[in-house]
Amino acid sequence: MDWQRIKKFFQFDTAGWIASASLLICAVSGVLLAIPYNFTHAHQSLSEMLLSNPSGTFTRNLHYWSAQVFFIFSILHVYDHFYKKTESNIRNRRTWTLLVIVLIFLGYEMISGFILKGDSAGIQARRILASLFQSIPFIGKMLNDLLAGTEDNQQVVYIQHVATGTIFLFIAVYDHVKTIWPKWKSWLIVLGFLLILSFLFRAPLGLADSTIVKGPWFFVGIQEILHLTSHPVYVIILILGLLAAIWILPILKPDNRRKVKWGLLISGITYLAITFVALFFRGENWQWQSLRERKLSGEQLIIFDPVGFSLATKPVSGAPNQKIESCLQCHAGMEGLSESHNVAVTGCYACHKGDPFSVNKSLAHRNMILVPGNFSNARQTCGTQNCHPDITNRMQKSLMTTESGVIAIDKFVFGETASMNDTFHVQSLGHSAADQHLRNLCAGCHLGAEKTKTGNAEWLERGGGCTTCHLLYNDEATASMRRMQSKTSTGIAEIHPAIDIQISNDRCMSCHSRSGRISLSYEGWNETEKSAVQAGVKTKILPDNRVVEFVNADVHHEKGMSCIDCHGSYDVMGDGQSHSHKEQAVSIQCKDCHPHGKVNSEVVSSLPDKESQMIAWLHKTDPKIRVVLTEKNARPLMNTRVDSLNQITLIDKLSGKMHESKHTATACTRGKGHDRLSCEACHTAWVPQCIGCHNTYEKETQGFDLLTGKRTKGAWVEFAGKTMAEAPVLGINTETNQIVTAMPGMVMSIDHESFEKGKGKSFHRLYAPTSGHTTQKEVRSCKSCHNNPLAIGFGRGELIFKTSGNIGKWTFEPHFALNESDGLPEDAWTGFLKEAKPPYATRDWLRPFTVAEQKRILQVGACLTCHDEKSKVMENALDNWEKSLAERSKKCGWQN
Amino acid sequence: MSRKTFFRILSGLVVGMLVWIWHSLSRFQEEKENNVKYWHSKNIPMGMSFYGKYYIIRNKESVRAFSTTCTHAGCRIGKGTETVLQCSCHGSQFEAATGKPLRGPAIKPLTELDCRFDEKTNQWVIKFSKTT
Repeated sequence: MDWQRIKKFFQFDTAGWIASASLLICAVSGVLLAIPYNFTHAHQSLSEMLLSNPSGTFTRNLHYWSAQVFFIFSILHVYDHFYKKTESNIRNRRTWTLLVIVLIFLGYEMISGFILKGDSAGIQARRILASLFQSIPFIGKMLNDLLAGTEDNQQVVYIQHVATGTIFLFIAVYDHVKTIWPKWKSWLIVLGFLLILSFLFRAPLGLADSTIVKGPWFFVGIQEILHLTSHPVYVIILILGLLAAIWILPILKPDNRRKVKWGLLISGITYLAITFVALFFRGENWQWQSLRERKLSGEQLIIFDPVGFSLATKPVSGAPNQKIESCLQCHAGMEGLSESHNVAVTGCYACHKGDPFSVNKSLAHRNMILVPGNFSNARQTCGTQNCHPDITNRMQKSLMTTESGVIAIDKFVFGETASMNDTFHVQSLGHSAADQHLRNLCAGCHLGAEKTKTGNAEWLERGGGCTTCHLLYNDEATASMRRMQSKTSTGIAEIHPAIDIQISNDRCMSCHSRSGRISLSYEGWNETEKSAVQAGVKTKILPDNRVVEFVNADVHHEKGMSCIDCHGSYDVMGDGQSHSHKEQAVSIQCKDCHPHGKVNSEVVSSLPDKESQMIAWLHKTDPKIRVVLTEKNARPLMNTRVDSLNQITLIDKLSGKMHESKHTATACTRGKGHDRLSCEACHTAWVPQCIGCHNTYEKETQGFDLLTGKRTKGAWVEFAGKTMAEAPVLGINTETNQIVTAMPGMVMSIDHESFEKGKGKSFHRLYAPTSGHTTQKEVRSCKSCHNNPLAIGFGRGELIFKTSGNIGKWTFEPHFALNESDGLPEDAWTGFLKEAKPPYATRDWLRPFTVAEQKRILQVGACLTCHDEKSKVMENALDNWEKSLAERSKKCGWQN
Repeated sequence: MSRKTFFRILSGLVVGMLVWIWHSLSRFQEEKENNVKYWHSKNIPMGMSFYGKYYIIRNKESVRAFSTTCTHAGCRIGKGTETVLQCSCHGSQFEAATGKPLRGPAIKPLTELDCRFDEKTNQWVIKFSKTT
């Protein structure tokens, strides 16, 4: 092979002449580009050009690539002169001065070309340019008006780009070499190279509303330097300093000249390094991004997209506020999305990425995101600055994402943390005994779990970030999906799954049918044994093969209310704070809709949070309407209305059905006897109650890691009995001093030895606070608390009041055997007339009744053994217990 | 006076005149930009309302308006969260309620705009002349 000939071919001319040839091509292509380009609607005209005008696209590519070649070879030309020490050949100072000045115009031409794209990066670049001009003392404003123009009009930039800057460049070239014409051979080679480049690679165009603002490749270094300094004028000083160094070069002594050149070279190399970092590792809001995040963001340095001369394209003309994307050329007929995600307005790219300006099917579909909304891509999709950044940020700290409460309690019972209030994140689980326990039994229920395929999630497919709740395939959407997967779709009229805020209960059920099982309870189902499936008993089998038996449903469910009617956005998606437990995260309380006295409310127009304002706007809510604010932290309940008579109406979010909400009944606030009772203490019909469970690690059992979705050898196995649907146990919230509902939480024995030798066994009897979600209008009876050993915490058994003369005494015979670890019946929370030993519960603020409290409860219970709870005596006792006690007859006795 | 000197003086005068015209045009442009007014109905929503070139922040005590031009390098800042504004160019953040920078490179607060209630029209008027 004749290397010399090849070398000679590539060195067909100097960098200066290659630059000069490119300048001519750039000027001619620029003149042609003026036909389809419209600077008053720059981005729209370029978008339309890319989608429907291959000749225009090609001309634009040629203009872009010739400008890049001109810029690069101009710099190389300067380098050539410095390297060969030929800068001193230019004897005329005027010519040298002109050449130095024209370097400024070279930069201006390049950046103004970038600005004229009219995308968000271009628009911001004009603002930066204007700001840099204005930072120059005295003449800054004048320079800005002359070269950067105004915010709303690109006219100045366009004129200076096509006329002033171009003329200056040609004058400089002519002044430099006394001609503007390169050799024909050079010109043809450059043209051929540029034609190939322009055919294959598209000139970049960003989105008009992109939040990734990155300048052109030669400018991102300056952008990074600007990021590092609070005083942009330093950048002007730096640029002027470099130009001054070039300007004085010819008059310096050779030794000093060499030093200045070295300085310039080092500056150039440093700038290139900064440029590299900025190009690849800066993302949205100029924050650091990984290469993976860069890929997800859809950024491309060089876009391979051959001009589709042969593709049949139809003219595109975007209406105001309508997206112009190549995706819509095929998918414009996509239906099924709600108004807030109307495909004509939001387009496809915002969620699914890909290439919105390529008309080639396979290229348009490259780097697409199949399931937008997974937390791995939420920052680039649902959570971009234009869409829902607040919510996706909040969700990262939500308990449904972190599982912090579950992890903290599990680690506590395993002895791996001293506090139940430490915060954790499920993604940070390691492989300790507790971590492995969580991985085997609990770590599947979190929003960060990845949804990897389209279609409605199966019961055991939990997670998917935003899509967990907000994505819903109806039958038509599912049929559409199948047509597209089987490639039998025409692609034109298909149904997209709905993305909205109408979240049905089944979205919640998959996760909340476990642990406290509130989703099941709310609809009236209690988990039972498989043998319960028999004729005459209303049972059903869940998709994970658990059997549930119908007990009775929550009154709110019977009225038609859904989970989301009470639990709004902040309850469910977090409020931006890291909470330890669910009761801190949940804002709604019974008294918000059933208040005693004045309703806490606000008019819609005065609501402070934008999310509520947006919902009001979406639902066209009258701004003068008042809505309920939660007492806990003033969260608006947007589906409520408060009228002038202080009456609350609740509107079902799913059905639109109206419900009149009643204020607290007078019976609830009567007397002093029950003023410490929480609403739930009386109105909770039942909660699922287990007796306890045993946990052991089986090394040979094939297990499943719910966090990674992989099978493992060895797994923690839980042996649990059936759960019984009974009225909740009562206890004390030591923070509010209220009597609240509780249920067995972590009543369990753990065989630590089975996981790691020498660790022994442990037993915990921790009850958990519960919000049963089995609310009934009718309250539980007096006896169901005062004469019920389960309610008081003794467990199931015979609680008998025996009298002897006028002395009565309570005795208790448990039904369950005593646990050898603590001597209490298996189902007890505290011993009969015994003080419990801490830790009592899965919260440090929850405890069972003390002996003194047990005695007071049983004292009333003693009365109820003779007096009907609706009797005058008991009603008086409710109003004034001390008085009733003082007035009791001699027959009434009590001793314990 | 030699002919060369005469032409030099003449050239200087011509350049001077051009600069004066340039300066006048620029001053006219500045006055035009500073006289832009925006009207808003009485019921401005609570919290931050974003209107592109400026935003209004309303709480129980006051209604204030700030320019959305980043005080660092002139970019248009956007809504980061409900209480924080974000510059997408260089990463600065500002507190919406006060306009104070929370994160650099910006070190100056956002420019507060003249915002007052016009009793005659029963509307809020935002004027782009600087008050700070």
